[in-house]
Amino acid sequence: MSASGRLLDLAVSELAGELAESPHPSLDDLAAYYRRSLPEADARAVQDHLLVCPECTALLLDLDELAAIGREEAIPASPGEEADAEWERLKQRLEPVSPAAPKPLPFRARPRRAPVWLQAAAAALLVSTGTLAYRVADLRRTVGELTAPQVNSEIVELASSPLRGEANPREVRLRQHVEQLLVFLRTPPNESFPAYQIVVARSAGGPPFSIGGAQPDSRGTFTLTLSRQWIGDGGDFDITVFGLADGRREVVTTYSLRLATNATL
Amino acid sequence: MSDIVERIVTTLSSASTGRRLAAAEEILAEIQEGAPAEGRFRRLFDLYSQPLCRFFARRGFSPEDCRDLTQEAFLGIYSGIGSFRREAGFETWMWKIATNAYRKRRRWRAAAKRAGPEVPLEETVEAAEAQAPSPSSEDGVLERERAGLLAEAIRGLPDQMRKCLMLRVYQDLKYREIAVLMGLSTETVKAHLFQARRRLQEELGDYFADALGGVEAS
Repeated sequence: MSASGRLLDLAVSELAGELAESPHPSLDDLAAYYRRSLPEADARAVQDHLLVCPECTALLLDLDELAAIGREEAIPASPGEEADAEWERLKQRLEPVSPAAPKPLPFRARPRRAPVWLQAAAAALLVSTGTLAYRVADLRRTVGELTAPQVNSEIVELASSPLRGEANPREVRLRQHVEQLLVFLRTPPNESFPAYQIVVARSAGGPPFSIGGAQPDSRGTFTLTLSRQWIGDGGDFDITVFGLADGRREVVTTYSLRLATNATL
Repeated sequence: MSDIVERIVTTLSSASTGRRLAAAEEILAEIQEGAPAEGRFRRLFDLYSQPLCRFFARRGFSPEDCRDLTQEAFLGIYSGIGSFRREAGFETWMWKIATNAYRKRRRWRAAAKRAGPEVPLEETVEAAEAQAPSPSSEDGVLERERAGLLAEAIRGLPDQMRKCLMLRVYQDLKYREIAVLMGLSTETVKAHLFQARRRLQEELGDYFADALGGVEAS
């Protein structure tokens, strides 16, 4: 590096050092900054951070690149053996379920947004249910991250080790109008795998429900959706999270769940 | 056969839908409203699998890793369709999924590398020192003094101009990249950098002209 180049680097580094302590913004804040939807003070803070953080800068440029892809003409991939082979490989990892078993629906018709009073009532019911008081802060954050509050969904959060005072297996009673159960699986810190598989099986036996290629969120929590149709009359269920790497499959953690429906009340 | 016909028909109609993003969001909306998922998800896969694969390739992943990461991204999309909020934007959602996927892969690869042969720390330090000739102590003091003057002058530049200059020098970004980060046009960035060089030269004189020579290089 030339002396002159080093001089400018030293000068700018001195300025950058004054900004070096700001925390990394979340992906949501970066996305909001990109869309210019952050409040001014927050946007300024993110911008100051970006000046000196190549990692966050790279993330934002990634988002811009994907946005550019989205603006391109919608020309699908040329059909060919490779594209077909990749699709077949993907299909095999998408919830292999025995044809004999009721097919669980990973995504259902989006319900119309419920009135605000009903959303408030549903939120209050969640907070007052069971032994979740000491995890209210976590659950409120989790509820806030859901799509529009779905009053025909029940939510349960499972930890791999039952907490003091909590029943094992965890018992959940599905109300009559509930069409799906959202299960949040909290995992303990573990070796990071490139992919995970979640298997849900009835303790009494029968074909399991499997999700391949599952990924946890930034807090290490998996989200599982079980339809009312698949749950049927309820019962005891064992949930296993497997880590997948290099052709091997390892148990990461297990959970137990007891579901009661109107038929079993 | 009907699946192939459906794909041909929807492929032709996608070409007239316009942008890739609009087509993707339409597909997701249809699936969320209860339409059969497989054919539609195949359309989404056809729309984005190759661009996504190239996206990972530009991040330095091998072709095999790119295919795996593309698969991981689509699995993430598939498992999250039920909870996807349209107002958040499909591209933002896909970005988070893709980012998490390649970050995990990098951590996994890094963990695998740590099992590799170790190089003694002394050797790496010696190699680094051999590449960086250090100035004499007198030169060092003078250099720091000049750098301080230059820093003070840069501090006095208008806010956006200063930030464009910092991104150019500190992170060696291109004009277009600075424009994305700052929410400006490329032409505005060029103008800021040109003005920054001119102002600093006026303030500091020709003595610092060499130091500012690289500011505008594209």
